[in-house]
Amino acid sequence: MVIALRIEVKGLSKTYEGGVTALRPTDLEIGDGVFALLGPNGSGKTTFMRMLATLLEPTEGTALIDGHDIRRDRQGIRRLLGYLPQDFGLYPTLTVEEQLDYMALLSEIADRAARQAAVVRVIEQANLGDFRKRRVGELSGGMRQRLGIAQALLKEPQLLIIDEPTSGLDPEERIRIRSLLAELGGDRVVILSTHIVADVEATADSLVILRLGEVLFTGTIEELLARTRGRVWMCEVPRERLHEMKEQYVFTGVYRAGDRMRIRVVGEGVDGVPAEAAEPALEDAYLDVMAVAESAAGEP
Amino acid sequence: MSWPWPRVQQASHSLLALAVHESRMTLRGRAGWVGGIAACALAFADAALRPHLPLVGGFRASTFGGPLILTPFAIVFIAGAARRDEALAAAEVVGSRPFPGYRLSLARMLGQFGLTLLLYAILIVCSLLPSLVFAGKFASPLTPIHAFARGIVPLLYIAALTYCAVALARNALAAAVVAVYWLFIQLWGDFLARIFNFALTQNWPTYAAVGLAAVLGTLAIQRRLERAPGGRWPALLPVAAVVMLLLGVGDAWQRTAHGHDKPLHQDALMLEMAAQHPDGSPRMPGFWLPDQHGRGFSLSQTNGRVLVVCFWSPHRPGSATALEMLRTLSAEFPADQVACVAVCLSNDHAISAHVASEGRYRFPMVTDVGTHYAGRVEGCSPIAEACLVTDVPRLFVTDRARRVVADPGNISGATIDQVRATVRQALATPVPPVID
Repeated sequence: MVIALRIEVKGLSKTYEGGVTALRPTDLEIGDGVFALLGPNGSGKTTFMRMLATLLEPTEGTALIDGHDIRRDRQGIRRLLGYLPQDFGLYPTLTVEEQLDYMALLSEIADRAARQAAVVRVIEQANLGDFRKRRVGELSGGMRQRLGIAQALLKEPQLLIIDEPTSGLDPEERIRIRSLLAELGGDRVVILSTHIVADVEATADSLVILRLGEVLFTGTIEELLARTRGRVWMCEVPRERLHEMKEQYVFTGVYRAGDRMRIRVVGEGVDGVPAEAAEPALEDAYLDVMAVAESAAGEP
Repeated sequence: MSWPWPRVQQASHSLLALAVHESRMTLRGRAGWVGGIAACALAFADAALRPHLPLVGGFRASTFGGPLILTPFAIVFIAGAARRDEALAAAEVVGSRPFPGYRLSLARMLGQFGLTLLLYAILIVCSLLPSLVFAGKFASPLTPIHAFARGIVPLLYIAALTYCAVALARNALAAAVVAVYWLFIQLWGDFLARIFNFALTQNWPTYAAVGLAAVLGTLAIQRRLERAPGGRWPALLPVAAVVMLLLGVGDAWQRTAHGHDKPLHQDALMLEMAAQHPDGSPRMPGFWLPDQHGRGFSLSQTNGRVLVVCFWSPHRPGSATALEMLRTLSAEFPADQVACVAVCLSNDHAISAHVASEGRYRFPMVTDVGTHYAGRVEGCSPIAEACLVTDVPRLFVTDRARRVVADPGNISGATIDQVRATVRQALATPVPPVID
């Protein structure tokens, strides 16, 4: 049983050369379980994760991971960490077993027997048993992703950081990866980034919503849903009004209902059309948070 | 403070295991196979043109196969290995590991160097095969060992420079700079002071030290850039790099100041040797040169005996036959009556000793340390100049008074019977009285 750790983010920010601010000063506390970073592309999720993984130097602020400062103690953090970037390459000429053995060596598992045991364990965890002798270059996208997760788990890390783990996968593989992540979150901190709300719904205990490098929400899924409760509406409108409605409200779903359209919107209410309140889903809550932020920023 | 032996053992075990994976990656690539097979096929073809004796194949492996065929492949593969993570987008997966990047660099170098040496060993075998296949002659076990020893430093030196240049510049194109340097020395090395030619065996200490300094320096810089924790001896790498560099430069300085690179016009002994001329005197010009054991050998040590002197060069395959002739003569005639001496015209000073041990030649085999590239044989060394040697192999036979009795122009193409007859004639020639 691995004891979960705590992460304290203190005023962490990143501005790239050229003045592009990827992450504004951020304060967070991350505890046990699966913590999701949700946001559109370019919202600063990857930058945040790379800084936590000690691969990117923050511009300001710092983060303490189990007491280790990301600025001062990279080695100490890397010993606690399993990391899988979004676009990662592995060595195509090695077999799955050899690749994992190589990564185990880089994880400072020097003893041969311990290494073999670790490789067998993660192959089992990632359900790669049938492919252990297959060359990495011959694996499908989903299998590569599982191998990526397997390599991150080699040293039984207390902190697992995974960037967009389900991106580009088919539905079956996506479900498999989600289940694996949910399982892993039981005894360690898992930070995953995604722009797919369903991933968060299926795996995360708490989340942060980012937009243009700014934290819009942080808390549990229940807290996010509670915030949106009473702001989700279902109504039916003639087809010809759909375009006009789209300009006025934030749609979270559009369905056909005979010759009319049934729509799901988030907001204070719906004018001029009979609407019934609906129980918010995570997607509604996410879009609501984004819409509020956009209107506060004066965006259409 | 306890000696951290278990940690050292564990670290070296990890390095070795990573190095094996690294060489496996290159070896499994299609380019690795194509390159390796092409290099070996070229080496075989080159040796097949001269299948006379295995030692010629061994020599060609160390002067052509290793430096000219294998090195370009090694440069390409090592540059690729140094930038592999970036090329495969694996840098972040690898970089987030606690294993220090500079140690991974070391493992990568070890893996690539090991693979290069393995390929070189296979290439040597390919160079020795033609003499077995086409001439039915087995190589002495020493032949591949010597060929390997002669090639190892230049290969590793270039390999180390390539890895270091690419790793520091963070660009595989930096290997092109090393390739230009390598090509320059290969093409123009003969026109430079010999200390600049890393392929010469006598420069081994200089280039081994400089190569090691480059590796240690690169590791020290990488370690600093990645801000790895200090460890027990934080200054060990940079200090070791500086020490190795100083040793290399010091060795080069010492060699050029007191050794083979002294300009000929400043070396009184060389000038004196070159000033001798058989046209003006019937006596064979004298010399004092190091033999295969590294001891000085003077022609005056053979006074009172008939002398058979063979000028030879490893670059001329016919030399092997001439050396065999010398072996036959030295076995047939008593040592107190006939002295056989082989003079090696090569700017690599280890060749003579290597050939002597490979061929088990017992007669003195000296190296003309003044040999340099001149475009023509008679201009390539003071002794060759003094003896008017225009082609090698070349045999001279003198009587007991060291007067040349055989026509030097004809005897190089002579059969053993002709040389034997000339030696008998020289033995029968009366020695003139010494006139004070």
